[in-house]
Amino acid sequence: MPLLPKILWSLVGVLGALAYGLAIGGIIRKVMARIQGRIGPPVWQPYLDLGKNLSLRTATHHGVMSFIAPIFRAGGGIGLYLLIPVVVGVPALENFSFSGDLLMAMYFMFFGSLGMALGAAEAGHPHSPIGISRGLSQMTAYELPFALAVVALVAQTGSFSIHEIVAAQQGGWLHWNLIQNPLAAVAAFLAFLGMNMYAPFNIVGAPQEIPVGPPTEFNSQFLSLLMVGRATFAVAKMVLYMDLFLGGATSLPEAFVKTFLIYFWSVFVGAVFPRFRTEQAIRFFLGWPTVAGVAGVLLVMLNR
Amino acid sequence: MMAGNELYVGTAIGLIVIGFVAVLTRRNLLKIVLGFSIADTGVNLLIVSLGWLPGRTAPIVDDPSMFSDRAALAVNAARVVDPVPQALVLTAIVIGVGVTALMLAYVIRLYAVGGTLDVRQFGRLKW
Amino acid sequence: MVNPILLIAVSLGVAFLLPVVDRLGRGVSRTVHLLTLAFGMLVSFRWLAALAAGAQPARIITGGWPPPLGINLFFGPLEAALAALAFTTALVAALYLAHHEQVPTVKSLVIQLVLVVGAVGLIMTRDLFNTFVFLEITGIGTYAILSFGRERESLESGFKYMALGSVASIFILLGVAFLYKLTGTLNLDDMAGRLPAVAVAGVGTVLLLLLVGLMAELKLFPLNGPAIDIYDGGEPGVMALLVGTTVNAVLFTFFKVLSLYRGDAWALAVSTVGMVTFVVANLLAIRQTRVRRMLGYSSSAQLGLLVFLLPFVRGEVVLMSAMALLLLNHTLAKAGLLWLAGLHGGERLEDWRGAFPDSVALRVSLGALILAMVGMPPFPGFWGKWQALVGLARSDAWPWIVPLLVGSLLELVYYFGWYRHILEPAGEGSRGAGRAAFAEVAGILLFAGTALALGVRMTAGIWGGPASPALLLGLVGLVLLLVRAIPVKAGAAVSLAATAWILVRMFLSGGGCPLWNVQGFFVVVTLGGALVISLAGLGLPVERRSFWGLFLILVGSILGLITSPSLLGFFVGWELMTWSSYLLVSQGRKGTRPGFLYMLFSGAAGFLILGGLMVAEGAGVDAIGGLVQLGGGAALAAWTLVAAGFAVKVASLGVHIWAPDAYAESPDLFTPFLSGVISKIPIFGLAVVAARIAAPSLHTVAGALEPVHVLAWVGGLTAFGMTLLAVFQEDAKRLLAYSSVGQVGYIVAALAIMSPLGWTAGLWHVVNHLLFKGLLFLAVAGVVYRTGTRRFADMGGLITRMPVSFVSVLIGIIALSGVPPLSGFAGKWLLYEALMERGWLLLTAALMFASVIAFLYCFRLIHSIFLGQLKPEHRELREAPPALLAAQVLLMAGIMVLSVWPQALLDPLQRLVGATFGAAGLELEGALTLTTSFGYFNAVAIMTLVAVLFVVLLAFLLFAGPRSKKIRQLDIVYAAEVPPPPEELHYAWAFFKPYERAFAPILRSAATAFWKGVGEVTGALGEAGRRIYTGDAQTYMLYAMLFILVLAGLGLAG
Repeated sequence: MPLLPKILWSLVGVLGALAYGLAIGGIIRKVMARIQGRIGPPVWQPYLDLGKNLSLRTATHHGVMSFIAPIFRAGGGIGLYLLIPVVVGVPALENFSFSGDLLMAMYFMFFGSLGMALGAAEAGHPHSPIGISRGLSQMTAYELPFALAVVALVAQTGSFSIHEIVAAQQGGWLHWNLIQNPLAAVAAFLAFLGMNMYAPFNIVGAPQEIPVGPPTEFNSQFLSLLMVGRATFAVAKMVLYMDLFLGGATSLPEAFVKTFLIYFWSVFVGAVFPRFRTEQAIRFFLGWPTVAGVAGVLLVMLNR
Repeated sequence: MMAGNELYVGTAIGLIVIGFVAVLTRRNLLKIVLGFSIADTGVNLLIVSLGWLPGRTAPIVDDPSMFSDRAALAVNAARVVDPVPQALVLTAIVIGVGVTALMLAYVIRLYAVGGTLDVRQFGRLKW
Repeated sequence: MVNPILLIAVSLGVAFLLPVVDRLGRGVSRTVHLLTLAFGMLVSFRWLAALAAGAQPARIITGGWPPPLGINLFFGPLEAALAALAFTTALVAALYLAHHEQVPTVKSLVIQLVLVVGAVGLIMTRDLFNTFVFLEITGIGTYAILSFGRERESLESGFKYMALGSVASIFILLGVAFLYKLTGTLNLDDMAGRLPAVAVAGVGTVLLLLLVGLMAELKLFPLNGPAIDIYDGGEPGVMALLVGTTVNAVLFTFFKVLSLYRGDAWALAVSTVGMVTFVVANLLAIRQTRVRRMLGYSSSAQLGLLVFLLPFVRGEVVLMSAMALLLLNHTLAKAGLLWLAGLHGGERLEDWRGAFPDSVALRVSLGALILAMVGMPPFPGFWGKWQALVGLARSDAWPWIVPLLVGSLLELVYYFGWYRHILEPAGEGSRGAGRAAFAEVAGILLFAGTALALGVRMTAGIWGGPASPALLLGLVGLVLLLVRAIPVKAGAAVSLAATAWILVRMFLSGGGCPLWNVQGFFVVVTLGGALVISLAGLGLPVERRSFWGLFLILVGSILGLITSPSLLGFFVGWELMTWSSYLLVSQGRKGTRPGFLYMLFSGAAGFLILGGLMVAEGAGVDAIGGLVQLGGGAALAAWTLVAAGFAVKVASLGVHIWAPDAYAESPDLFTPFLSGVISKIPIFGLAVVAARIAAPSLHTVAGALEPVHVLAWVGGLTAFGMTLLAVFQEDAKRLLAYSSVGQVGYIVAALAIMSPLGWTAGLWHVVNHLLFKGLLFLAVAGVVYRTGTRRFADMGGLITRMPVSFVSVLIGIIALSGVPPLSGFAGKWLLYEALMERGWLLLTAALMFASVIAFLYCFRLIHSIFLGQLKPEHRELREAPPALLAAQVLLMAGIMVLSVWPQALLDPLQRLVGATFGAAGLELEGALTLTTSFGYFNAVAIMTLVAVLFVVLLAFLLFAGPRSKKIRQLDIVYAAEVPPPPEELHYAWAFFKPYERAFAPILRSAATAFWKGVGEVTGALGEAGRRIYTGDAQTYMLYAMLFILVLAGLGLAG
């Protein structure tokens, strides 16, 4: 596919992902509210918030890093999305996934976190670094089971290429890695709970004690860009998980269904469990999820 | 080992032992010096007795004319004891005297700085 | 040629005449005395020159009786050399003593001559009884000169020494007499010929008497108590005289007499006693608090080492030159140190704090002599030890190498324990040379200078002549060190010019890019690092004048190490690097303690490597290229030792405890070099030395275990452990220190993969780590320079005051963390692809985990220093000095080049690993996409993607929504309250407390406790062991008698 159409298609894809990501955010708020016996905001509330933030009359910032943070955050989400093929075999939806393999995607995930952390810290509000401390701590912890799962899959497939990993799972749902290496899948899906930062891993932005966490000092267009980042990042992660464990997608509707299911995994858990303290969250990830991950890797090693 | 000189050898060893016991057990510096002297004497006696052969005379050539007569020298050599140990002892005695004198000098100076002759009082440097 | 017997006759004659001459005035007698010694020195040196040129040795017959009847003397090259050394020492000692004694008495002059006569006589005589006589002469001379001491300690020790000496002389006399009885001769050569034919019971006992007598004279364990006491109580100048004259002479006598002792049992006994002395005396010395007593233990140890070697020299296992070098080294170093001790006067180790602040020459001499003493290159002792070890390694005697190296390590402990105090900054209590006369320091300068000159000559021989860049840099460094007039900034300029010149010459000299082979690669890394440091040095001042001199010596030694093709050349450079970097680490404000620890661990690493090299030497390999020939058990042993040595030097988990403090407390300008370059030299060792050794796999119950797999896990666990520990540091430099060690762990793991891709990953990371860690350390150096603190809690918000430094740190942490699009990602990518290719899955995951943890400390570093709240006292702070920033810009430019165009480095690396492995492992698909068998990555595309996203999103921020306004520092959303002052708002202390809590179970550092325990146990052993020296004369004599019984009981008498 020539470069120009590819860029245009990617732009469409990013906007679509943004719309989908925001919508999913709204759905979750609604679901949570109903579980808690509230009516809750309308599903389209995130769109309203985005619009509101962009149309504020004033905007303030604390210096250069206040710009860097939203840029990195949104860039991380969009970039990650662009590095993962949404529908393998449809060039328009494969984005720029030939520029980097799974490792690139994994490291691009950190891009947003790092930028966010930097920008939030410059403001000088103590709540921001406290939230970052918690967020980064939790991030490293879920990264271990996730890394183990990735290693298991890559060793199984013999490639870091997401295309290859998807290709290896074709031929029916029994070929999905979810079934092929259930241990690795357990590790990765438990890690996913941490990535999404819903309960029980939502202490990062814990509204009761440190209002909003890292984004405390952001407003107007800065805050809206953070929202963009969050939405696209969430979509990108779901697509990645779909590609890794659910055999990817051959069409857009299939992709919607699979990603929606993946996302709702963390909603289900979040609705049921209370919040972990940071060290509890870390110990959790280094416990059973890690054991499952190691077992998943050993499984691959034994099968060779 | 060597017939006829058991007495000397025995005495010599006895002297050495007495000397060493004194050196190791007496606390008085002067007695230690004395111990060394006795042991030295024992050693000297031992060496002389090593070269002693029963029935022979001192290894001294008293007639200078003998030096020109190799045969007479040989006859004389068969009548005397081995001269080398005696020469050694002569030197050893001289050295022994020197060492004893030096030791006594030390004792005097130690007494001057320490006011005592007890060897146990002179062990400040240790470990 | 003058008849050598005149050496004895003239000196003895003058000794007798001196009291008469003294009537003409003290000046006259002193002149005559000096002239006599000068005459002896001249004659011996002329003989030495003649003998070296091939002249016949002199055989002197006394009294007209040819041997075996008469006494005969022999004067060959060894004798001439020892006589020359004796006269030289005596002459210089006389000059020193003349100025140092309160009243130079004629008695003292006479005794000095008597000592020399005794020594020269011992050296020359071939007659056993004559030997006894000269022994007594030297003995009496020694007792007499010790009795001149005014202090009670001097007298006490003299008496004890005399008492034991008398027992020894009784043994010797008995032995000599009985031997005469048994063989009928006193001539040594004759007796050695006749003795084997004597089959009388009791020969053994007789020989034993003589042996133990001589061992007591030689101060071997356990008969060394009084000898150590006289070092403690005696006048140091006198002890120096004894070291150069009688000690060497008695040792040589022992060597001659050993010709009587045929059979392995005797050789074993002598070697064992020597080695036990070496190890035990060194062990007992480590708890000494008094300098002179410590030197006494050291002398005993050194003699033990020499005695240990004697049977091997006799058996032609070890070269005579090894012995000669060690003996010369000991004489020069010990005599020099004793004179320095006398000049300084400090009794206890602490008294030496910042010694001789007023004299560069004396400080350098002191350092040189200490380094010579412990056998560091370039000093003669190093070469002697190496030759001796090679000799042992090539024979059945190789197991002796183990205690020899252990003893040498113990030696490092106490000498550097002393040096540590000397290296402290000069303060109120520091003693200088004051107005010492030239005569007093002449000997020190002569001996230190001789040791240094010999060393430089030998180093030049091994490194390809004085024109080699390595040696040249070292010599320039030496000049900088010695010439006080050169300003410090000029040192930085010289260093900058020298490194730049060599670097440019390398790239212009043709013959291809220097990066195409491992050696060239590491030379470029070293010089590049040195260049940046020198540039930064133009801006950042150093506290000590000697910084640049030592720095150039260090750089030179690294170049020598890298470029030398032989194992010896490699190790020379390694040890030179060890001590020069030690001295630089110790220059930090609180650097001496960490420096000491650095030296100990580096020393241990050095000895492990030496052990490995000796395994290779034992197999007849002496070139690095020849290591491939090793096979089987030898290969495994050599590889294990060498790899363990390098693992200690990279501070692997478990032996890492030296690193954090050494990095943190080094001068701020030196830390980047320590982290960026010196930590890479063990990596060079792994790539060039260890990788050549084909260590076979071990067969375990779980299947074959490759040694490199173990090494990879060592690297991986180091990376994980150090990264984790870095997270909890409260000090910027300590954080980076842990980080450095962890990053080198990745490199170790990468090299251990032993595949083209693994090496590409490792070497890429070598360069990348140099760039980003250099950048981070230099930026932090600037911050520390301006704020005066390294503690995170005391900084904050500096982004507005030091924006360039902020950018440096930002670029640095992005490159470190591996986040695309900067160069760090390529390194991670290569590493993981290589690990997956190799199939080391769990290690891959562990390293991925470690590299995520790195985010925590990266963020902490930049946040605590530059973000958050600015402290009021920092509102007027200035940016770092321009030269320091220039150095950072240089490094940032390097990172950017690697990020945008990784092929710039990957292409040469491809060629490099291609030459090593025959395959490249990495391919280029299309123009820009790098591919491996596992994955792909297009740096240009990623960079473009990031750049486009950045521009678009920035445009969004600027043009969407209202125009944003910058608000003031304390304008924050603070729940309607007035925010507290910045100090309370800055969240920087205990930043990752929850993380610490979560990891608490594995954080309790067992390593520190373990090594502390090792130190304590060793110290306790030394403490308990030295109690055997009760200080009681009778105990010491008892030891002598018991010692005979023990040896007899072991069967030697039979």
